[in-house]
Order: sequence, then structure tokens, then C-alpha cells
Amino acid sequence: MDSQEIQIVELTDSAVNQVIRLLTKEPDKNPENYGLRLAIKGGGCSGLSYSLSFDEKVPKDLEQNFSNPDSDSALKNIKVFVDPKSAIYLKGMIVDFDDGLMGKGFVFKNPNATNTCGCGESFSVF
Amino acid sequence: MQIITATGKDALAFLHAQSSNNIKSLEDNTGVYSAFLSPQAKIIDLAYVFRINPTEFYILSCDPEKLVKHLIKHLIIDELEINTINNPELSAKIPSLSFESFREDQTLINLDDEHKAQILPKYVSFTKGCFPGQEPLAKFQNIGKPKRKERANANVDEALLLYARAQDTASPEVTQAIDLLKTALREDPSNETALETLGVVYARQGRYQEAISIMQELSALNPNNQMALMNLSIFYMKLGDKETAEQYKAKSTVLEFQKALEK
Repeated sequence: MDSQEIQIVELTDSAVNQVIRLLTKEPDKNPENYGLRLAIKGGGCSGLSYSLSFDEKVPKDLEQNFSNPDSDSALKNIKVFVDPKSAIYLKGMIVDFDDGLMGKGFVFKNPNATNTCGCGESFSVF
Repeated sequence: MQIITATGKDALAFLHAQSSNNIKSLEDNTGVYSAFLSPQAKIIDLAYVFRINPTEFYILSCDPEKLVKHLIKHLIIDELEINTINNPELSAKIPSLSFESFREDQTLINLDDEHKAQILPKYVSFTKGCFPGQEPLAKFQNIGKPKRKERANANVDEALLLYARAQDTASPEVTQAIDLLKTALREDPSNETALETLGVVYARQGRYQEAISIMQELSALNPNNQMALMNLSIFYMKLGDKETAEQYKAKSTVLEFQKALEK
């Protein structure tokens, strides 16, 4: 595999900042192999569901790096892990963080999506 | 079309001993694909053996003349008669028969062991007891299998990476990924990830009919594969067939609940 990073998803600045905030609460983890895991599972009202978690990297994962040099925290760079199979569904996705008063938290914006359901948790990419 | 008949009190035992598949497990008016092999596992003929009753069998063969010679050569003390008859009506009696399929297989007879191993599973039972050619066959069956599965997995991994790297669905990487997935499926037709990925890639290209037939294959292979049902529901929705989409969605939901209950 070449070292060039493969672009699967895009994280907005506010999503990166939120991930940094959350990761700062887990100082015992090694930021080199710990990060945000995005995955897809079946179910949800529009077909597929997103899954978000903090996790350690496994060898097969595709890895992406995001950074916010202006972050107040000591942590400036974060990693995103996607398993190759979820990548076929997640490709092209934008992850945003909505922190307004009526905010929904992490929001997946899918330029490919044709159907999304009200709760924003599930989608159809076709 | 020529049909071989084997008639006599030892017909069942004789055919069971000579063929690579389990003839004893047949019931009246059912049939099974079977190969007739040399002790070195060279394929003499591929056939469909159909049981009328324990003392009467019909054999549809790719090369009746050759097979009759082979059988008669091994006929020593068994009490049965082997003949050929020319009766197209008889073959119509034999149900669910795909004669064309083993005619195609016949062209593979001269290929290398690994290709042979791919077509043989439907012709061979490794649990029926011994038969001519069993030992060499078992050897390459077991050698070839893990290798093919491994190669298929490697191809799928590469295809997933290529697809992840592609700029859009018209990129050359996507075409390469599709080719790799097809190669993987030739090596290991039961590779679920290969099927799922190929289906999803087709759908992203707007090739919904192809995507559907791939996902149906996956669903038939593993009825508990929820992603297959979910994808089918989405693809039918895309084609405007809401009813079918709903049916698959319902199946998927049932499966989801079952899984939740098991936990």
C-alpha cells in the first residue's frame, strides 16, 4: 500500500474540534493508534445506520488524519478509522458537528444520499 | 439423445461403486450429477444418474459411447445389463435436469487440477465411501481450496482499497475493482464480502438490475446477511418497485429483531 492517504470522508472544522474535545477527556489513550471510528451497519429507518465510536486502530483500517492547529487543547491532530467494507458506503460523506441550542450533535451529510430519515441517523447512499 | 440404461439386481451397488457421487442415497425418480473417474482421478465422463427404482437407472452422459465401454470393462460378476437407447421422450421424464450444464463442464475436463476442483463439488461426494480416483481427488481438493479462498480474500481487499481510492464511479480504479471482485468470485463463489461489494459498486454506478441479482445471490447464500436484504430493499426502491422494497425491508427488520433477541 502506498503511504498516500486515501480520502474517504471529510470532517468539518467543528467536527474536528468536538472530536478533539472528547479525546482530551481520555488522556490515557495513545493518539497514534486511537481515534474516531466510523462504520456502517444495516438497519435504521432509511436502510443503513452510521456508527461512531472511539476505538483503537486495527491493521485493516483505512486511516485519515485531521487537524486543527488553532485548537486550545494540546491535542491538535486526530485520526479517523474506517474499515474497508464500511468505506464502500461511507465514501464521499461529510461529518459535521451541530452544537447550536437545538443541535443534534454529530451529523452526517451525504452528498450521495437520496433518502435520509428524520433523526438523521440513517440514510441511503444510492 | 442417447441414454444409457443400467438394469439388473446389482445396478445400484455397481453404479454406486463406480461413480464419484452418492448413488445409494437416491430415492426413486431422483437423480444426481456424478463423475466417472480413472484411479488417477482423470475424468472419463461426467453424467447425470437417474434412479427409476433400485434395479433400473438411466444415465445421461456427455460421451455415452465412452462411458458404456468404461462401465462394461468393470462389469465382472455384477448382475446387470448396460445398454444405450435413443429415446428423447425418456429424457423428458427426468426432472430438473440441466444437461447443458454438464456439457459445458465437459469442456473443462482437460483443464488443470485446480479448475477441475472447481467444477467437481457438484459431482463428488467425499462421504459416500471409496470410489475410483477418490484419493488423488481428495488431495487436490484439499490443497486447492484454502489457496483459492486466500487468493479471493486478497483480491477483495485490493478491490476495496481501489474503490476507496477512486475519485468517482467512472474512475479506472472502479473498473479494476470490479474485475478483481469478479476474479475473487470465480475463485470462491461463496465470498460474501466480494458479493456485497460488487453489488454496492454496481448500484453506485446506477446498474441496479445487476446489483439486485448479485445481492439476491448473496441473500440465497446466507439468508442471515442483513446487509443483502437492506441493499435489496434500497435498490428496488430506486427502481420504483416500492412493494418489493417493502418486502425486503420487512425481512431485514425481522432479522434485526431476531438478532436483538438472541443477544
